[in-house]
Amino acid sequence: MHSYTFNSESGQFERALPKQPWGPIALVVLLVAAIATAGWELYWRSRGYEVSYDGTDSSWAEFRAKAQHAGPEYTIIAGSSRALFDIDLPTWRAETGNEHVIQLAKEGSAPLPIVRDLIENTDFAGTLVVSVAPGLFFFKNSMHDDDAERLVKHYHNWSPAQKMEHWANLLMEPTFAFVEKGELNLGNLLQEVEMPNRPAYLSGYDRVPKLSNDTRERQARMWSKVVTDTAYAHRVRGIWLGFSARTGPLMRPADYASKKAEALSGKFQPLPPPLQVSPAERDSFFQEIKSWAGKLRARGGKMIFIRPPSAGMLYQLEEQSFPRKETWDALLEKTGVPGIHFEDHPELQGFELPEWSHLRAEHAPPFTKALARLVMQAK
Amino acid sequence: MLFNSLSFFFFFALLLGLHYAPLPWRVKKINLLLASYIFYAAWNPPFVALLWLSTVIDWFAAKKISETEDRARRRLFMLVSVVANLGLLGYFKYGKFLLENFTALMQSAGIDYQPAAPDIILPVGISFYTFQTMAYTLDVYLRRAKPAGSFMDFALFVTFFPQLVAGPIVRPTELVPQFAEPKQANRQQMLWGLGLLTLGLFQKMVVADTFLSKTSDMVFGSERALHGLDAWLGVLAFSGQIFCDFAGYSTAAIGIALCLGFALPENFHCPYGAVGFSDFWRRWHITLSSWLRDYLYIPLGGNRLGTVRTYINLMITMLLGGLWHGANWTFVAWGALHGLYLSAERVVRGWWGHKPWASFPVVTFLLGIGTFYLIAITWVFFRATTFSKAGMLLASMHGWHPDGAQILPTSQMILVAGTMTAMLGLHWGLRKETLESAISRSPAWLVATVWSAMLFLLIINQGGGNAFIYFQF
Repeated sequence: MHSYTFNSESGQFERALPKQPWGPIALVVLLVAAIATAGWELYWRSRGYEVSYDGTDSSWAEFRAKAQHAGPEYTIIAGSSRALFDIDLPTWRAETGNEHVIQLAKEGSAPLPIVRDLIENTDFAGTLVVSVAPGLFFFKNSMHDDDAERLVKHYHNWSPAQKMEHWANLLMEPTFAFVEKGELNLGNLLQEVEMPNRPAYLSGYDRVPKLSNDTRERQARMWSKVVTDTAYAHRVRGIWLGFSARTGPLMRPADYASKKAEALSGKFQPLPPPLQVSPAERDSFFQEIKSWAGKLRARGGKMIFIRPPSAGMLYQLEEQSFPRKETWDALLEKTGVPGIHFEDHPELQGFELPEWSHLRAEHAPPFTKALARLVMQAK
Repeated sequence: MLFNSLSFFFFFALLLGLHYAPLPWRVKKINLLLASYIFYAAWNPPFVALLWLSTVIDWFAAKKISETEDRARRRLFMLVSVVANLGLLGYFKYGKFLLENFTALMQSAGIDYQPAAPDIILPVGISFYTFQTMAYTLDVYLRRAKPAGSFMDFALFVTFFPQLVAGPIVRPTELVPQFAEPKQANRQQMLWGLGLLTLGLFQKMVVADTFLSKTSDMVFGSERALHGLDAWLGVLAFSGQIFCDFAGYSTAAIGIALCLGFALPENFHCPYGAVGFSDFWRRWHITLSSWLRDYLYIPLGGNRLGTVRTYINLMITMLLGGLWHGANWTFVAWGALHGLYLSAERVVRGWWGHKPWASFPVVTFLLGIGTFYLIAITWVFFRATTFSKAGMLLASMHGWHPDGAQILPTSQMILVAGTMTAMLGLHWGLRKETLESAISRSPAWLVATVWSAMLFLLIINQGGGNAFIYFQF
């Protein structure tokens, strides 16, 4: 019952080999796998998928490494997905006449752990643009956002193996549309299989479906399906408003669906605690950011906040949950950091946000053009 | 570097190219040694120094032991090796655990002792290579083996990358002689090696990481009491995940070594087809259980010192085996359960083992089910991070929370149930034969179809990069 034996003649251990015509079998395996993979690639391309880079932790770490030695001529962008979608880097470069811009925003995360890392662990003395999405930025947990802290830790512990893997992945990603770990991996595809669940089944949070194709330098360009497929865009809007519909991390899908439908019909509640914090905690929050801005200023650099647009009921939800006066206005007043809010500048308005949170790809360049001018003026 | 990464694919292709180039055997061995150091350094370069330290100490300790017949000197150098290896393991793996327990002990005695939190990073695979090198010195001390003739062969034995970080734990007599003569795989060995590599990666990336880990993580991560069905599926999922994760690594390691022309020993053989716990340990992590038997259980006296001492020796061996897996009391509990199972099995065998009905197929089958049930119970302690979580899950599994939360969607339940049914069926069906013999009697079209399907699922899986569970041990 052993697969290996001791050969007393040769004094060596040897493994048993199954008797099969291995040469022909290997040829068939290669042929079948190649044909099946080609078919898989064609299938996803026919569904509208294109070549896209994965927003991996190592991809973020690569650009964070560039920021380590970035000179004062650099602009670094921190923030969440709105910064990734709304700021078109080629347009930024053309408008500012400066090639040196690094995108360090991360979707679904608060930028503050990343800002802290840049202030405390680099000598960066350029311009730091911090994009504010109210639901992620204010107040509780945003100083210790798990995703952002994971990225920072990943960069500081970035092993040679992870670097090698990153560079190897970069060989595959620009070639195959199906190489999209966040969306088309087997695990996600299996999760998409719809089946009736038990009556008492409790589900967790919605998975945000594919929204963009990402570029090599971490810019997100809204996927055309979000623009053209209204049902798809509606599903995503429901996910954003769904945060106000939740009563806990686990809910009965039927309850969640009906509350989400209520929210989408305009009957939504402001986001509940723990997003609300005491006045003392707010002061401490602002003081910490002020101290970072002061350190950056002392080095000759500058911090600027931007508030990209949101639309529809998501904008209303954000306004109700995070009233501008208590959040954005207080942020600028208490930290002394300049800020650009889309509501204050007509040139930042009038763009299309198909799922209420991010600009469609074609509208990112004109938005960026206007934003870049304002940022330069604020300097 | 992980086997389940794209970078390993390039690394291995380059190494194969060098191994099959027309170069002298000594140059090829240097290539393998350097590649092994690069493979290890890719995680954390400074930790290569630990490998060198372990290599040098054991090389000289074994040499000194073999040069003298003086018992005291032989014992002294054996102890140098054991203390050095266990010292490395103790500091890096158990330092924090010992300090936490010492602190708790002080506080329970009313002494306010607050040490600074130690910042110790666990070097990957340290439990494996320290045991492997220690076996070398012990074999020389016990006169089971002669010291290696070449330092390079010994260094390669310690460092050989396919099995360096997660086994199989190889004995010096199994691997060192293989480095003496030029080794290359023939076409059959190369293709079978690639087949084993595909199978190992499929077990890890598709079955463990994609089919089972999500359910296991949800159930073991739940803060709420669960419905019995969810709890059982979570434990079943982890039973499958831990097997496919670890056996997948071993299978890939054996395949990689075979592609280079080397033979590594089997580490798993259908463990969930075991009937009884001694049978289970002849099928699960075979190279560790045989290591513990040869270097701990037998030196403790094994079963030669009477019934009571046999049970004590069994318990000591399994408790330390549990602790080897991780610095947490839950691992000790896991080992203790296995010790109790093995002890109870000896008692029961003494009562009924000789009865004719004990070997009836239906009894064998029921005993197989009973064995799996009790093994699954042990996995609860292995995977749960605290005893309270383990207790809550065990209670859910046994119907104490009929109104517990139902957190698994139907699609996931079907996936886990289907995967585990297939896995248990395969283990039971293949329990009396080897994979090689089963494949030999299969039609070629079936072999080609299964291999193609595994390769295609690996390609579309895109789940590379998850570390193997046993790396932390």
